[in-house]
Formats: sequence, structure tokens, C-alpha cells
Amino acid sequence: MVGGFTGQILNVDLSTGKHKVEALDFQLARKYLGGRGYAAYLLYRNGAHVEPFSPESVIVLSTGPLTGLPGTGSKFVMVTRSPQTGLFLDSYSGGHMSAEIKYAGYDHIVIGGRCDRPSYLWIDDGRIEIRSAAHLWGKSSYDTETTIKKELGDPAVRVMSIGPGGENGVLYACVSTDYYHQAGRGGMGAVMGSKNLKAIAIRGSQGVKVADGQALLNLMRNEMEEAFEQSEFGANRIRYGTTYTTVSTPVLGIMPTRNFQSGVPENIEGLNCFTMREKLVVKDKACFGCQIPCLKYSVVTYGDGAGTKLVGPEYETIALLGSNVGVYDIGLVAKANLLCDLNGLDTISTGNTIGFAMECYEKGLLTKEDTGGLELKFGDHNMVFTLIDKIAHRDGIGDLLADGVMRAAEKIGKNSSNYAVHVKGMEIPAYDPRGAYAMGLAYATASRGGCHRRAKPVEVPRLSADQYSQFGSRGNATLVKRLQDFREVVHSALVCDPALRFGFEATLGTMSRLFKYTTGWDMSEDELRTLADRVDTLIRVFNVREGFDRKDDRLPARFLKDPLPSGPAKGKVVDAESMETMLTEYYTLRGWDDRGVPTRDTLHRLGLDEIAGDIA
Amino acid sequence: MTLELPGGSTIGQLVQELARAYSLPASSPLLRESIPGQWRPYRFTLNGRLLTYDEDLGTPLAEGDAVTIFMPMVGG
Repeated sequence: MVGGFTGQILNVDLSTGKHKVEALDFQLARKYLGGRGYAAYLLYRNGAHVEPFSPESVIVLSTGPLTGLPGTGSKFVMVTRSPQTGLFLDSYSGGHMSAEIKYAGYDHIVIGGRCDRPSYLWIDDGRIEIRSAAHLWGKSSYDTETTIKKELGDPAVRVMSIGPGGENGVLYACVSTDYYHQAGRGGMGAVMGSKNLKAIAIRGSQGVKVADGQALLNLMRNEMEEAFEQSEFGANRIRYGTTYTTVSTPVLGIMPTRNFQSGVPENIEGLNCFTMREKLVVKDKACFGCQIPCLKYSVVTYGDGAGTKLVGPEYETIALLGSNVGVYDIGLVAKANLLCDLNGLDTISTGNTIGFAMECYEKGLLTKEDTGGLELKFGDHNMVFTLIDKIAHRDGIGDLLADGVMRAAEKIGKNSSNYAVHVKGMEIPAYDPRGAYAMGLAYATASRGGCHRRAKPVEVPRLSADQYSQFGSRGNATLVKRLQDFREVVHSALVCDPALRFGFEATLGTMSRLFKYTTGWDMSEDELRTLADRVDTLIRVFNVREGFDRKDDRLPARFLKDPLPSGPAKGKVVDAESMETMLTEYYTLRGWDDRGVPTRDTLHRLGLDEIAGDIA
Repeated sequence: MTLELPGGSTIGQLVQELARAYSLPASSPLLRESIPGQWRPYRFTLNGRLLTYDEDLGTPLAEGDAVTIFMPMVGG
């Protein structure tokens, strides 16, 4: 047995109620690690053009060799074909579920088929059971988790569940875990809902064996602890978590405001990390095995948000449910965040979509006739609360918005697509690329659409002029690829990249040593770079197989045509020539042709010959 | 905050002035550049323009310039 792995993959068929345990292929594990990498392989082998809402679709629940170990934080990933984009979808969540999956004895859990009635899956080590969820259907994710824990008689059972949004097929419905953690993006909750799968409960009693526990502990206790103590990033991360970003993006003029009409919030003091810390935060919390408690347990005690209790809001939520919809009170944003969590909606897509609807209403593209009499005005927090509920239940105007901005714009017509801010159907998060062109390349090439999780070029210190160009192309392709490759390794490991970067300022060299002590494998930095390239290219082939290529690696019209009206990037759009240059350079670095399709030579170099015929 | 600096001052001199005004120790992260093998975990904008690492401390300042100092952390 190789350390860090359990050596088992659990396959569950919801249609028949049967399950089987398959041995992990360690040759493949060396090739793809775990997490995003191995899950991509498992999804790929499930075939092409599988309809996301069909029984034939699968959800792959994955951990990696570093998941469940102390020190670096743990995450799990859910992988499927997105109903929102048609692309490969990976959606991550922190909390404690990741370790529980591993301790139950599984590296990966593959769930296919469809239950004939509302159900939940109960995995108690090797005992697998499908139980009725008739009494849970319609309940919020919080109530579902509480009810299941009581039903199973163990408050330590870990539960992931969907809310009404997932049940009603909202294309950006999320999956909630440990109450406060969400696998948010791309509609994973809707895929669970289509399978009549309300929740998955897991209890594990096994541990994880590693190759050299003493060396691993020494690394954690000595070097990494010292690195953490010296890291200014780490201290800041603990105090403010992701909300510290409210300092940098307004300064750069790239924080979405009023549906990305501006990058300069009108009243950032109402939303920033200092205000949140002072007004809301009562406790710092950490995910399993993490030394960096960057989660903020918040309680709202004033105004229309009073009574709200949650972990959050995170930066992206503050931007999309705050400045992007014209709301400048952190307590109100927290309440909107909680409503999304309860209903099982992704806060990024929800805030982006509500901002889109408000702008359409402002411009007369949506009228009271379309909205059922509602006035959709920026800054009206009560309207934000109302729309969240309507979206989750596909009620009235909510039905239109539940499919996201791309589809809503297609139905509204009248050039409303000019205001739909998405890439490949996934709504853009909280960094406006007009003030940071490299972010535009990151969005255009992210494997799941408009996503910030693969590369965030605005976060990198020590960049010289030939490594980064704020309003040009020079250096950006190399930078974006480097950042993406680092995350390919981290997300296949599978640990938390903020914990590594902002606690330990980790490098591939650190990862190499972590793998050696955990798995026993000597994985050089070069091997890890090749692995990153392989995983990225496998996923690209998946997407090419579904019909995506260069024509789809595009930014929305707003970023190309509408200059920012104020701030440091005033007058800027993403220059089309720079974008084309960055794309071409990026494809060249990846070994993809001018259409963005991996070449046969590249596939051969990466050991992917067997899939070359799929994109001929 | 507003600071008055001699004509021709650079961002590096602004940093030194801040260190003096706030009695920052030489080991302060803002001053780490002076310690071999260390680097400062901050980035600078000048009137909103993000300065690159190789230009920032040497960038000259003019009257009325606005400088922001922040850690390059993002996430969510």
C-alpha cells in the first residue's frame, strides 16, 4: 500500500441501490495523484456527451493523498459535467467532510444512476445504505443536516446536502457541507437534485497511513511552523480571511460594482474587512487539519440583517451580493449570504445574476410585466432577499434567473447579452479584468468557465515588468500557466491552496517533500510540473470532446466594449489584440494548437496517447 | 494619511519615512528588503497603477501622488 491513499474507490448506483468497491490503480495515482486529477480521469472514462441531468451522469467525490493529514488544511472536490456550462466541473469545499471520506476508507466515491424517490446516501465505513429523504425534500440545507444527524444519532456524522435550489434544478445550485461550507459553482447541487439525492452522510473510523510519519510531523512542526510564524500573509489571513481582498481590489478599481458597470465601489467602508471584523466577527474557525483559522463566524446584531449567524461572508460574496447589487452594509450582505446557503445557491452566480437583472430593469429590458410587479433597483436589499427566494423556487421572475445570465439574456433578447457577465455560461466572480488583463486570460482559459480558482494573477508578489503586464500581454501567459499548474498539484493533492500559499508560501519543492513523506514517492518538481500539465490537458481534451475550443475562450462583451468609468483603470477595456496575443502564447506554452486543441505530440509527451483519437 | 517629503523623493524613501514615523524595527516586513534573502510581502500602487517589483521602491513621487501599500492577497 502506498501511503496517503486508502486504495479504494466506492461506486454507488442509485438506480439499483447496489454498490461495489474497486481497487485504486496506483499507476494512475502516480499519473494523476488524486482529487481533481484522478477525478478527471474517472469522469473522462464515463464517456462523452453525457447529459448532466440524466441517470448516466456521475458525480465523483474525491480526496487526495494529503487530505486528512494535519497541518495544511483539507478539502474535497466534487466533479461532474456541469449543467450550467456543459464543461468539466470541479467544485471544492472545506470543512471536515474531506477527512471523513478518507477515514471511511475511500479515496474516491463515484455516484451514478437516479433514485426513484427523494433519498439520501448513508456511508458508514463499509456499510452503504440508501435511505428515504421524503421528509427532507423542501427543507433548507441547514435543517436537512440537523435532521439527518439526529436521525443517525451521531452529531459527529458529516453531511453534505442540497437546498430547494438543487431540488428545483437551479443551474448554479450548490452543495452545502458542515452547514457553512459550499461546493458552490457550476450547478453540482442541481445534478444531485436530478438524481433525487438530497444528501450524503458519512462516518469514518479509519485512519490514513503515511510513508514516514515522523518526517512529516517534523516538517509540519518545525519548518512549516517557522515559515508560518515568519509569514505576514499568514497573520493577515487569520485576522481577515479572504475578506482582506476588499483592501486591494477597490484600490485597483476592479471590484465589481452595479453589475460590473464600475470597478470602484461607492462605499467600500460599509463592506470592507475592517468593518466586518468590528461589526460581525465573533470567532475565527478552521477547517480540518488547518493551522490557519481563516473562517469567520459572524453574528449580525443590527438592522434588517439582525439574527443572521453564519461563517462568512467571504470576499467573493461581499462583492457580488454587496457592491455588485448596490448594497453597502456588511450585515445585509451576511443575511443575503445566509439565504443563499439555506436555499443552496452559489453566492457568486446569484449576486452576478441579480445584478444583471437589476441593470436590465434599469435599462428597460425587463419591465414590471416581466417581474410580476417587482421593481428591481440597485441598492434595494429587500429585493435581493426576495429574488434569492424566487430563484431557489423558480417562482415568477426567479425561473428566468435560475438558469443564469447567459440563458436569461438569450430569452430577454434586446441586446441584453451585452450586460451578461460570464464565460462559457458561468458567471464571473469578483475581479474585473479591465484593470488586470492577466485575469482576463485566467477567466478565458479556466476549465470550468468564469472561474477565479485556477489562477489569480493579481495575488502574486515580486513580479517584475517582464513577468506581468497590467494593461498588456507581456509575461501574462507564462504567469497564468504557472499559477494554474501550482493549483493543479494542490487540488490533486488535495489540500487548501490559501493555507499553503498564505500560511507557508509553499512551492512545488514543499509539495514534493510532502508527497515523499506521505506517499513514499520521490516526485521531483519536474515530475509535478508534468503532472500538472497532464491533468490540465486531460481536462482540456474533455472540454474539446464536448465541442469547446478557442472560439469559446472569450470574455463577455462588457469587458471588451465598455470602458471602466472611473478609478485607476478608467477608460480601459480588455484590448482585443492583447487578449489574442495572450491566448496564442498560452496555447503554445501548453502545447495546444492555434484552436486551443492539444496536439498529438503533447498528448504523447504527457502519456495521454490513449485519448488522442477522441479529438481527431 | 498625508506625508510631506523632500522634492524628488521615491517610494523607497516614503517607506523609510513611514518606518521612522512609526518607529518600525528593521525586521519589519515593510523593510525586509534590507535583510538578505528576505523580500517584502507588500505591493504598491501609485495613483492606482500597480507597480512591478523591479520598479516600485525606485519610483519617483510628485506632489499630490497617492500611494497605496497592501499585501497581494486575494481569495474567496
